[in-house]
Amino acid sequence: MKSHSVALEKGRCVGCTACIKSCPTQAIRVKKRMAFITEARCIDCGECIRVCPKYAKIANTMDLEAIREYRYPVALVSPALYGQFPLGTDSSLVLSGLIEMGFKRVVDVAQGADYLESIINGYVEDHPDIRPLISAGCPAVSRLIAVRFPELAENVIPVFSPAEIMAKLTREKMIKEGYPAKEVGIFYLAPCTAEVTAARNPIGMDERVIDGSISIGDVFWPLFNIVKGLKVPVVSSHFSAKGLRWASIGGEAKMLKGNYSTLAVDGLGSLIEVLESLSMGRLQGIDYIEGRACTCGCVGGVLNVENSYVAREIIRQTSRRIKPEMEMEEGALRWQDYQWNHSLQYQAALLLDEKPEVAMLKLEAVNDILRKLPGMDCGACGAPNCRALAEDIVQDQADQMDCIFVFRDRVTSLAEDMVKLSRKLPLSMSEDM
Amino acid sequence: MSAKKVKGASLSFTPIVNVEVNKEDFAHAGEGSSQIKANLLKLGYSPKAIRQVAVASYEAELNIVIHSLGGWLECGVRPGLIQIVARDRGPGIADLDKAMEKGFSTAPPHIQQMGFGAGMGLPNMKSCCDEFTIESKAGSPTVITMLIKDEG
Ligand SMILES: Nc1ncnc2c1ncn2[C@@H]1O[C@H](COP(=O)(O)OP(=O)(O)OP(=O)(O)O)[C@@H](O)[C@H]1O
Ligand code: SF4
Ligand SMILES: [Mg+2]
Repeated sequence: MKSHSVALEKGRCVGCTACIKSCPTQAIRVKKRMAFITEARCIDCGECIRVCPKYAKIANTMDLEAIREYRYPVALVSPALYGQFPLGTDSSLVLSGLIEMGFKRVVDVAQGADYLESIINGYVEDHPDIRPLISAGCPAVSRLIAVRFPELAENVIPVFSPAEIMAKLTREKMIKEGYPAKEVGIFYLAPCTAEVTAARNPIGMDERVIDGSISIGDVFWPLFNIVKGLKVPVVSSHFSAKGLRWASIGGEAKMLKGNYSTLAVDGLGSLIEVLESLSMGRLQGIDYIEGRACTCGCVGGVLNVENSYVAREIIRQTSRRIKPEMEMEEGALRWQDYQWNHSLQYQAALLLDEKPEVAMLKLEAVNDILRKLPGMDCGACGAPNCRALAEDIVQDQADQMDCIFVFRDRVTSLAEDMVKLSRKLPLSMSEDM
Repeated sequence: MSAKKVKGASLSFTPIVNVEVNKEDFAHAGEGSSQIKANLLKLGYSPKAIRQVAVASYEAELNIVIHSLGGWLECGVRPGLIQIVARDRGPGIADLDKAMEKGFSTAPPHIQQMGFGAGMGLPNMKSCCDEFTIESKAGSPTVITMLIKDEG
């Protein structure tokens, strides 16, 4: 099974190169009028899905039909879903609509976000020597760090996400209630490809806790039509304003209790700048970084239907109408019980070669080639910039002639040679003696 | 002034980055260090070594921007060893011992407002690397040479 959630619909791609520059790990190349994604580099952020004008980049998610494989399918509802409905929609009706669609149980990830509060506060307090700590709440950010900023991997808080917390708690609870483990299927209604991949292939864990993911975009319209007709809820939602606001940027940073200084950064561009400064040792005095790949946070997830700013406002207004905080019945959760099995692993996907000596030779070759390229970073060659093309050439994946400027110069000089040649008559025809 | 000798330090290094750093060019400050970091990642140096190099080269680069008349940032590598050289056109440092002290800074207020001038750059560079050498005197260029071992 493929582990990534971003895929290419071959028939739709026209090879326009719109996506290559959007990729934060330079994973995409266009060759022969078709985009290719280097799997090892892909962090599933979904940026290419967002920018593709032909809708050729698609998300690898499950159909709603998949839930029928389990007798007791459970919907794990991302709080971002509530930002898709018109303001004033009762969240219990949304959940009831999901029951009507065939789920036997519905669980709010926002409730998991409520539980996350004690987990991150505990972790921050117990690790005063690691600053700033970086939230693992957005899997695209964790994967970006694993590929491009491995020197910051130890700053990432190695704990479950709210969705994983709820999946674990729900499964434990249902098994205790007597449901056969095999017949319980937990499906995440996810806002983004990053979460879909994380469910399939969890970042710090060897085993998955979520059985499958369905795109919010795929369930929204059928669900919307059902919810419209509902009057009385059959289930109710259990989360606080804090948990709901976790879906918007800043929601997690606000959960910190001590007098900490925090940064909440949304959007990959700004985030990369912050990580870059962080790795240079700047940003002294910052204790916590909540980084989210999407603008406005998870309400801006690529699988959502509503505009991210509108969704954020809907979440904000809704949160003012519900209880501000969750009263914890069984006491606060300890981070130790929701810790990853291993820390964030370095993904050496940018290496020029496994062997250091060979990598060195390749780097010198890259720099030599780079000097002959025009430095326009135009992307017409199918690589995101001149350096990337130079690397591809060295890796035997491309040719200097792929550069339209090098190509044009070569054609010009060939044409000049032809003209010169055409003036030279063979000796037999020559008139001068 | 130098500290701690590293084996192999006298051997030659393959240059991977050599960039000019301009006086008071805050818009591009840090780009050289960023380039060094990106290249080391491609060569397979360890995250730990990259972290040390990033901090050391950035501090050196910023000192050129803030305190000097402009200069160059260079990085050279050998298996298991990384060298950073920061050199400038002067004006040099009159009292090196003082400059190396934690908290000593001559950064003017407008620079401090930008978040620099804690007087921690040189001490941080020294603690980030395995061998640190600084040569400077009033009226001369400053040359800093740093070696970082990569033990994997
Ligand atoms: N390249 C240089 N040329 C001239 N003077 C320098 C140079 N580098 C450092 N200095 C002097 O040494 C002092 C201490 O440098 P250091 O990097 O430790 O602190 P800083 O640059 O003032 O503050 P910080 O690095 O914490 O932002 C500087 O304030 C400056 O007077
Ligand atoms: S910010 Fe949220 S929605 Fe966007 S990629 Fe990260 S986890 Fe997914
Ligand atoms: Mg300094």
